[in-house]
Amino acid sequence: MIKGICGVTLRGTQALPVEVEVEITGGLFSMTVVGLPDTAVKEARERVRASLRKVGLMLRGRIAINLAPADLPKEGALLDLPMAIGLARAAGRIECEEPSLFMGELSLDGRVRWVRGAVPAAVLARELDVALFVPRENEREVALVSGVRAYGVETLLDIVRHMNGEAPLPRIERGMFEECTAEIETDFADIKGQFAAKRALEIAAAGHHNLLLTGSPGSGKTLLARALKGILPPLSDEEMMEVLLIRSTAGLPFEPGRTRPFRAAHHTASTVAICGGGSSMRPGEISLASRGVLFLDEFPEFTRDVLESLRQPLEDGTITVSRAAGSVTYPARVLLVTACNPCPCGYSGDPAEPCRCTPNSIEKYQRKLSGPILDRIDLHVAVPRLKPEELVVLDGECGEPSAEIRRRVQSAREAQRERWREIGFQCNAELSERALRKRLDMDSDVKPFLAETVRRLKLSGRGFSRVLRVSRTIADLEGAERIAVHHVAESLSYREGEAFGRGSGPGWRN
Amino acid sequence: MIRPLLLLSRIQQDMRICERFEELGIEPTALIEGGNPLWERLGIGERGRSLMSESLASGWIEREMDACLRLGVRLVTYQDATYPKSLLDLRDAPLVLYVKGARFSLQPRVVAIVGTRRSSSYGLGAARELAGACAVRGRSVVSGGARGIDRAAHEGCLDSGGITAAVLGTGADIIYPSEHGELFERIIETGALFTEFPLGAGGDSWHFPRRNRIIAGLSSRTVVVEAPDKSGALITARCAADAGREVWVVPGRMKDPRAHGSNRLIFDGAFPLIDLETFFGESGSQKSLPYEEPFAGETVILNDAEKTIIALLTNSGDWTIDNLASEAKMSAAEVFRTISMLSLRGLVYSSGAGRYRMTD
Repeated sequence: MIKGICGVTLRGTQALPVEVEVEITGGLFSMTVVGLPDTAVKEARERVRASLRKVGLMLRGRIAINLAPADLPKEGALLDLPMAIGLARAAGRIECEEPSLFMGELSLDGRVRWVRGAVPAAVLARELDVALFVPRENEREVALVSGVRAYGVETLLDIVRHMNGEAPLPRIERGMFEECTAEIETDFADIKGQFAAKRALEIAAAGHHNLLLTGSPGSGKTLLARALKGILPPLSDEEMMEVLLIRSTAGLPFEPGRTRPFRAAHHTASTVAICGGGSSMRPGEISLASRGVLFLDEFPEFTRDVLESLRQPLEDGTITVSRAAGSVTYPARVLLVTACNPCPCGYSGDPAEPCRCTPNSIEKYQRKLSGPILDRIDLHVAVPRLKPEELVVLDGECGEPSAEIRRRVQSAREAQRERWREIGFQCNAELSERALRKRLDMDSDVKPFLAETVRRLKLSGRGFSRVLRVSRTIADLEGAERIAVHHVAESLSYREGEAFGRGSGPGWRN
Repeated sequence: MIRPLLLLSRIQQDMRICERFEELGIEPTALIEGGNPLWERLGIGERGRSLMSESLASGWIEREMDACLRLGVRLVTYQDATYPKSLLDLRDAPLVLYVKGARFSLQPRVVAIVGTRRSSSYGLGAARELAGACAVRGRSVVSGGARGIDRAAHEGCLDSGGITAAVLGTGADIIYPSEHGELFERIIETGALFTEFPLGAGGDSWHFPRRNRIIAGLSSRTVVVEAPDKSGALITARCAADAGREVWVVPGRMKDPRAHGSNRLIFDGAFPLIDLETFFGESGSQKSLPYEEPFAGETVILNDAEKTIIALLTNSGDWTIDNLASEAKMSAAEVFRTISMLSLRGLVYSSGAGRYRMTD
């Protein structure tokens, strides 16, 4: 339980209450803030003083502000507002008996500015069952948290008048998640041709399989990755809340609608940028993309550290950022879409442009694509650059719109949830080795076919498991209960190596 | 006898110097005592002479022989019985061969398989299959131990239980390229590594064209699988032709830069390798290949989708999934599935990223 006037500080997606104690004594003017404030909090003195002047309060004497608990580092300008309210009460300008949470950054003219972390603060206020005062600009996101007593403030004067009973603020009404999904930005129907890649994306979306797109520059990998967003099922309420929390924590602007997040990270990104961290332990791209798509273009160009650090979150669906100041766990359930060129210059296997790479550099490039991270990528697909005459042939053929594919994806996902409920999996990509061996129903002719395939293609154990997982998803997309031979046959086309045009079979017959 | 030859070998002298010895009427054994004046009469250049005296002064010969003993590398001079006789057809045969491996001599009717390091999957497959077929017929395969075609040839031969030899452009103790350590281990289990370069010699660029004459000399037939215009494989082919050996070429696609040099050899009169039967002179014979038939013994029955795809692929060149789907009026999923089934039967292969073509 909290007492008096409180602000919040963020640790991960959790808001912690910070009690603001103020003492004013006689003497020359000075203002000290104690309780592990960071620079932004220390600088609040000037903002607080100026905005209090706007409500007609001139500060005098020696002022000490204590932020409790004393050993918790406080950060950010969101403590401006509780400090100002605390001072106003100590100076006798307002009455404030009921414990309340305040958050907001002050401007010199007394306006209250947008802050990050309003959603975690709302969750905290609901837990503590206290009133919450947030900047007006944060109202929309706070409204989505049910059962919270929250007020939106435009200026410091609003609160003063509210407290003194002169002009009570209206309580923020509970908002609803908007049912309509925002318009699909990149529709599958707008992409010419690319049937192969589209099919792979559909499977990826249906079974939550991570995906690697290989193709020469300009073959359309990025466009395809963006289009994936549109065929994923809309966020559920629970997922929506998780996304909202993360976005608010990271200070990203509020977005209504149930569209899944799509984050593209550049290959110069650091481990901290991808996984989260820094002094305030902010969420990284992988958490911002949670429940959505994380797109890594030029995949082999990422540093080995970054690639390595992706492995654990892909496995667990969460990421724990540990620093000297403590550790924070963020969600990290992403659909990883990666893209790369077939070789450093990008033109290996291209019909028009010759490849200028040495065999050595190609090998080096492709070797970076090996290792543990690749074990988590079930689907490999080539996006060949088309020759002009091939483009002409495909002109005008676009295939199904995203909405149609999304319906199929959704029913495939439901089938998976239903099937794996008792063993606790959500989708086929999560299936454990054990479940793969014991729990897959297949037609009687599939087993001998698989045995023959493994022998001929020299499939590794892991490669075999991937084929099984993908086969299950293909069957789900078809609404089939049992895996049939043709499901397995299709999934073989998405295996590792195939996309580089180097089959793993004996000789050139792969 | 080995000492003077080893010394001459170090300064890259070859059999041609023996002609000089004959003209002067001296035995090569007299080389070391003869000293600088003799060397000059033999026509050895300034740098060669100084390297020789330096080698003698520092006891290089003894050290080299010791090191060879230690590393299990045998030294074979042109006078030894184990020196491959077929090499003597070369005017510039090496005086000394460093041999590492189980075998001194190769099986008769050796086939050399050479080609570019930057090969297509077609080239790799062809090299591998051809080498395997040689192995099955009891013929050794010689190549250069390099990446690409060379590697495929060695591996194809080894995988079918054959004996293969690699002629290196480095010292016998150097693994170049470095990822071929395992391959070389496999080669020396049954075959051998040959080189004329002293221990520790690195892969200088001029080494490789030079060792190519040994590849050609060791074999009765040289097959060039894929070679661009300035490929070392073309040098091998020329050496083979000069030594009076047969040169065969696996035909490549027209305009394919990787096969342009090799195709030109066909134009210039090399034998095109159109199938294994003609290559091994088996046309008309009843002997079938003991080679793996796709899905052993099964007669290939195609369903409608497979027939459609095959018909399209037969039509022309290589196809992407997209073009196949649009032409055959099938979904991408169906095309993927059909291609998979066809390639499992060995009827279709992936000719490059996302592209497919018929095997035959």
